[in-house]
Amino acid sequence: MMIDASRLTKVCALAVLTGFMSIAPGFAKDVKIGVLMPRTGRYAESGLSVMRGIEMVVKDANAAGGIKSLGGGKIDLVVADNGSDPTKTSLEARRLMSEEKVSFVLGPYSTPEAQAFMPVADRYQVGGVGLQTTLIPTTPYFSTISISAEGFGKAYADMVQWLTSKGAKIGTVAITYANNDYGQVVSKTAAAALTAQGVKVLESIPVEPSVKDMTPIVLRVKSLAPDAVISVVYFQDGMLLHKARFNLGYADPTWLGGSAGFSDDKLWETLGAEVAEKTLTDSFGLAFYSEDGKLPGLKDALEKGKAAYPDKTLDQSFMFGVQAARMMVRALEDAGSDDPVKVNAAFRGLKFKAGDPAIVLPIIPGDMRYNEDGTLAGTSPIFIQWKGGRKYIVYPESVASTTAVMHGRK
Amino acid sequence: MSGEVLLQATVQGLQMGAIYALIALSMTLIFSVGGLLNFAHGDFMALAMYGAMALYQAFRMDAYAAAPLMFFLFLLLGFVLFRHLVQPVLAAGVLAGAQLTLGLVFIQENLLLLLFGGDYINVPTVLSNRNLGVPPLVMPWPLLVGSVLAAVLTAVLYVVLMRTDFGRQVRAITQNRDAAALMGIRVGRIQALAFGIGIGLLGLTGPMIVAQFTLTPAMGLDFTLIALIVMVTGGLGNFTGSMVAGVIIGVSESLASLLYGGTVGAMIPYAILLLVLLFRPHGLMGEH
Repeated sequence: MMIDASRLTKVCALAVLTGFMSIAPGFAKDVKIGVLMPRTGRYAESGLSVMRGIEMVVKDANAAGGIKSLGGGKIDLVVADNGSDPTKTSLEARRLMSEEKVSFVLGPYSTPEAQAFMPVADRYQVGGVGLQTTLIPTTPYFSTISISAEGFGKAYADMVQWLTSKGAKIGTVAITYANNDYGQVVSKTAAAALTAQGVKVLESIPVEPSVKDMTPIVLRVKSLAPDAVISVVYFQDGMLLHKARFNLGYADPTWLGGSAGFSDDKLWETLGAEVAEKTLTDSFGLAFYSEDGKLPGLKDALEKGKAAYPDKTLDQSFMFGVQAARMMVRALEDAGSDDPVKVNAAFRGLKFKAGDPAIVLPIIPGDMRYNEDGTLAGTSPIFIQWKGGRKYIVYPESVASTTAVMHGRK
Repeated sequence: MSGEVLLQATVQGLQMGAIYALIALSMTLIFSVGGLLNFAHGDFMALAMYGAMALYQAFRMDAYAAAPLMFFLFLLLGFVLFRHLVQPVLAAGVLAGAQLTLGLVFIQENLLLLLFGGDYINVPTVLSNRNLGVPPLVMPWPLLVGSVLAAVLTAVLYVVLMRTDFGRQVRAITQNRDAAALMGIRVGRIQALAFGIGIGLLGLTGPMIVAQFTLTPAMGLDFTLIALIVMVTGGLGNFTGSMVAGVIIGVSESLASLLYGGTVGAMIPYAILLLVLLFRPHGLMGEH
């Protein structure tokens, strides 16, 4: 077979040119990243806060010269609103992947949205990262930066054990939980772990998240007279819980709970100081983030966040956005490509040493890496206590900034 | 379970029930005159609550002081809405009207989101965190005031409907719209007025119960649902029925939550509705 030398030369030249273009600064390759967040609906405020965190990191990365391994290519965010709705999540994910041709998706936000997202990600082989998603991923194309519901349940039991070691007398516990997948798993895991510790679980009381008055539930807990109560609540039912506790003047047991209903950054202000002082000060709130965390990455994110958004609260959602975006930037650098499969593999392969500036959330106290199932290894929720409207980490002691207060005594 | 705890739960349920009735009364009024199921009912109330919040933030006006002002503002809003939006659409049938109110749900929710953001908001009032202690009972003042308002409004609406010319005209339209028109009743005007008063009452109710709830743009649907359940259980268009149904549902829900947990408590309103529809399809106090 005759080889056309001139044609071969052209092909070689084209190949060299293509390779050159991919590394030469003048031929930088921009990369499209999807952001699938609730900008309307139930989780709108959280979604908008996440967006601020993502935009801050991407703006910084682009200003610092873009993705070096892509010849300084800039990150181009393609934002989609899923309306806090699983069905719309599925549709928008499809659009981002098939029409916008994004390389990776930051989002979705919640567990039901993630359940709708995963089959789409699997089909188009485009990776995504869930933020407040407490499920264990069922596809290699989805990862999470949250903690599983089982992890939450175990954390409550660990906290009870720790409080007992610090002198609290906890022999009996009552659990109230939001009656959905997440709440049920947390409650069951906590009850099993507590029983194994020799703590008697008096009752696990389900509560519908749409409840309009928590007084009957608090009355039921009161009639059980437990030493401690664990309440798995969201923001609104948490508000109702604290109001009912305040109205009934019920402050006997040690109260643990989370997450938003005990540790949301706006909880104290929304509840009002009068109620918050009486209910939150002695309680222990399970959280992902607190401003007093010691991580260098967190301090840096706070400093930059305050400069970028001086009139906004830098809450948990904002930090989730920063965390996801910093991981995505690093994954793009590692991938050196905008191929979705390679970017996803790089994301799953991320490894950060403890103290790396990319680690923002205090729930990652040591090295960071992914387990095979797409959950983060070595994560542990923190517990905070409120003092005068500010949150302070009290547990685990390795990251605590102050000592726990139990019914007025340290 | 001690008697004291049971009594506290019963009283709490009575008060919550009265609040449910209060939310349902204006839906009953709107339905009774135009046959319109207002799915945006709860969202109008959420709008009124946000209005009270805006007045508090701008002028430190307490929600209870803002309530009469909101009543007149919402009365006007309801009247104008009916004349220029609801009435033309209703001409195409009740179903079109229901679809219109569903559209209003999305418009209002997103309007609130645009104007006030999605943050949860608590509106402080002079009665927030204040309780009336009648040992061994504790009764939050915001719930007590809401309960009294519900009872007063039920009585006023009953008297207006049964003893005034306006009420007679409303009843005539409810019974036979065409015959009422032939008798010289200006049907459109009465309907607009009734719709306006219905929306106005939401303007009054929202600020009066705002201390009990945490504001969020998507809160309206829950109110609409409870209003629908109470209205249908009590008997469509029957104010006393709404009051009775609200109290029954509130007490049952509270006691069931206390005795069997929150999930059973949350099922109770629907279970009562189902039973009433099975055995008294026209509602507890409805007429055939």
